[in-house]
Amino acid sequence: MEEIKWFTAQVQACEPAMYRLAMSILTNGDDAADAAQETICIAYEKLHTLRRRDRFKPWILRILTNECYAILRQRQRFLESDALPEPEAPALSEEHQDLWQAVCDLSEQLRSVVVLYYYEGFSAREIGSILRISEANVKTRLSRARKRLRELLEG
Amino acid sequence: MGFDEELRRRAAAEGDGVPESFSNRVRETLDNLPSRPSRRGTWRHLLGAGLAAAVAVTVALPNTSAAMAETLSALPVVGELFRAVTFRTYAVEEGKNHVSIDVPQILDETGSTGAEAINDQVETYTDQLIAEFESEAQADGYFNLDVTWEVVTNTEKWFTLRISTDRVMASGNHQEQHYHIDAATGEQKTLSDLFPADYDYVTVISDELKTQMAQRMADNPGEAYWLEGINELGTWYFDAIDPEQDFYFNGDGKIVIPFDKYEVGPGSTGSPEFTLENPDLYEHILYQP
Repeated sequence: MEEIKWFTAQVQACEPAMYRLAMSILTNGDDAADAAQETICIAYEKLHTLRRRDRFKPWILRILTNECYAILRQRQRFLESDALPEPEAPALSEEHQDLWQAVCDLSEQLRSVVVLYYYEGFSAREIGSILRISEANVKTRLSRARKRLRELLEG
Repeated sequence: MGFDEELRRRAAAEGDGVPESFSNRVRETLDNLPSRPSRRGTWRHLLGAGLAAAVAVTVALPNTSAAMAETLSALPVVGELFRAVTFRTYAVEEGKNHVSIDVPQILDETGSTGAEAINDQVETYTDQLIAEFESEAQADGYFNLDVTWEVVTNTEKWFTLRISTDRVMASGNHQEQHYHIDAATGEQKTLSDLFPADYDYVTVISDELKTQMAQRMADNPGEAYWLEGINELGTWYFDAIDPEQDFYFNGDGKIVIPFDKYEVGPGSTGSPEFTLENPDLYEHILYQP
């Protein structure tokens, strides 16, 4: 398959994961779209460095994570931390909003691991690689997130 | 059902939840990609030069017959497992324009995946340079481009090929890219392969680079880097390396991070290189030359 067609198909398959991960870090739809746009351009330029094509998804999510944190750093230089926007829930059918709403109530550190673990099905080791934190740290965050989600969802 | 399974079930039931505005941006970005990947850093200055129109081009292809044999024999054999030769040469001498591109090829008797992959990448890169020159060059332009290669490391453990791109237009610009092979397996390696998956080498290397940059600025007032807090140099500042940042090993086995001109500082800083000394890196490193 022509390179650009293969790349386009891969990105489209990753679009929901890219959206949720970007939202979990940035909590803002416009910033999430900016991060995705930059990520797609970088990934396309760096495609020759991707050695295992079957690892495209974690690879592009790792680039996306970098871009999200770059945007976050830029944003924090202009805003006081208390002026940061509140998490914005994505457009979902109303009957299923409760989990995502609960995820949005978690801290940023917990949101990204929850998205990658529960929504995307990555292992703790893979999540560590994407977020560039240790596997032990991922497990700690997951444990805290699980506890908090139980409180939020089960009252 | 356990709570974990319950959360997974709920997550799956939510669907993708992607709003149209996000999908539109993804689609627009994909629609506007060039038909082949180009390296933004490499092309940034070339595209800005505004070159176009007819240029007489000569292409030398000494990859057949006696010319190839002569080329091969004239070059030094650089190692036992891998060696590199100039496979093709592209040359233009016309008025103020000068282009010389030596296209190397890595030869190895085992037919390793790394050598094949790197040969493809190098050929794609040089083909792009040539195509861009042919479509952009102007008869009244001042175009000076040299692409050369050298083998930086060639041991029983490691092989590194450097491609250097020098262009002179409004000002000189030097860029490098290094390609690595783990000689034990024949596989191509990049920076992320050097360290265990759970080791945050990006932060460790980035922190050392920022410290070294600050020290160089303190030692030499003429050397400037875009670091946080240096406001007069613009809004962008260097904070972290790319996870696949270019690198090579020096003769002492230390990692050297080379930056292209304008990558981390103004043009006056040139193309700086930093030798990494942090012992923690070398305690975690998985490969050494």
